[in-house]
Amino acid sequence: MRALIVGCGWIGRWLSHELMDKGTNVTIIDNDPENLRRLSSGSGDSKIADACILGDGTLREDLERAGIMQADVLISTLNRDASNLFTAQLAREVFGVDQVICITRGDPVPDVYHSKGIEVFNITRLVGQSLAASIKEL
Amino acid sequence: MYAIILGCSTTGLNLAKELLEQGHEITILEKDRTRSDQANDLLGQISIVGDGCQQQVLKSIGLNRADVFIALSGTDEDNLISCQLAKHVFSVPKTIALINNPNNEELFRILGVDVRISSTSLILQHIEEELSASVVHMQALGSSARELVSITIPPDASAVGKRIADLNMPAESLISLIVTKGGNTRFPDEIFELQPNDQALVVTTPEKELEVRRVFTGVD
Repeated sequence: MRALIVGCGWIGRWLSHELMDKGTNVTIIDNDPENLRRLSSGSGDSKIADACILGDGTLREDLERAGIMQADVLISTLNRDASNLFTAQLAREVFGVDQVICITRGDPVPDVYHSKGIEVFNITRLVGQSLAASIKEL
Repeated sequence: MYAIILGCSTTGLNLAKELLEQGHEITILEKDRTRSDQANDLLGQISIVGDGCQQQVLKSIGLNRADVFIALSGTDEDNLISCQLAKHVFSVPKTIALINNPNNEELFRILGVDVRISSTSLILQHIEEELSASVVHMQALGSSARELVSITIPPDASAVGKRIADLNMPAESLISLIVTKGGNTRFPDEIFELQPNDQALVVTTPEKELEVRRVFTGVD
């Protein structure tokens, strides 16, 4: 199983550790070397450094360089909804990646993405819901 | 008509100016305050500062009553996502997008942006047309990969005097109409013979275009 994670922020980093622990073959792409350094520092694991690709996850050629053709799943965790929706559609429509997951933070997105087979996770909504659920008086 | 333009580029500004002069209602959405202010100084209160990928922003400028949305920003992801929101959330009848990176043309085509303008491709096409002086791109057809091209038969071409039936047309290519040198139009039947300077309107694909040109002109 090969996973390509786009964006090496908090979510991308947590996710790559989780997946690597499960034995998934992970590649993570980010255009900021500092973000990639944060992932690999503090871990003596050389596997992590090998997994990092410096590049722009909204560009076709950089995704190809990160091995999108071989990926079974792509998770787009960039910090802008528009970037994630763009990358997710590239992965799904141009490269035909099997499972494509896209993080959003803002307004609910139209159904069109879901109908293309893209799984959209609105993380701010999920956090709001789980906070509400954990407030005892409610 | 109410048109919304995304991006205060020189192109965006000039387009807005033209459309205003034609009596249309225009709003320009621009992320950068300085550029937005410049547009307002030049054209009156026309530009709003905001992110075209945010639904509240699009709603606040009345996208739901717009007749056309024209995305001309320098960022392809903004142009694509804002066009998709315009189409699928606000039901705008026509969306037009500028494609900055030619590698994204396929994606924009698959995703059904109504009109796609790729500056790189346009310039390339013009150069190719200058060089070959034979195949002119008329129109991309819907969201398919097909296109309508026009080919003027050179006087010394191998196709001159040949019947349509004897032309070895490639797959996925069809001669749809002949405009004769005299300016008449003819639906091409099999016995029609091509004459110098006849213009053939052909439906084909970008892949088959060179073969089509070879059939009509004999030139590779």
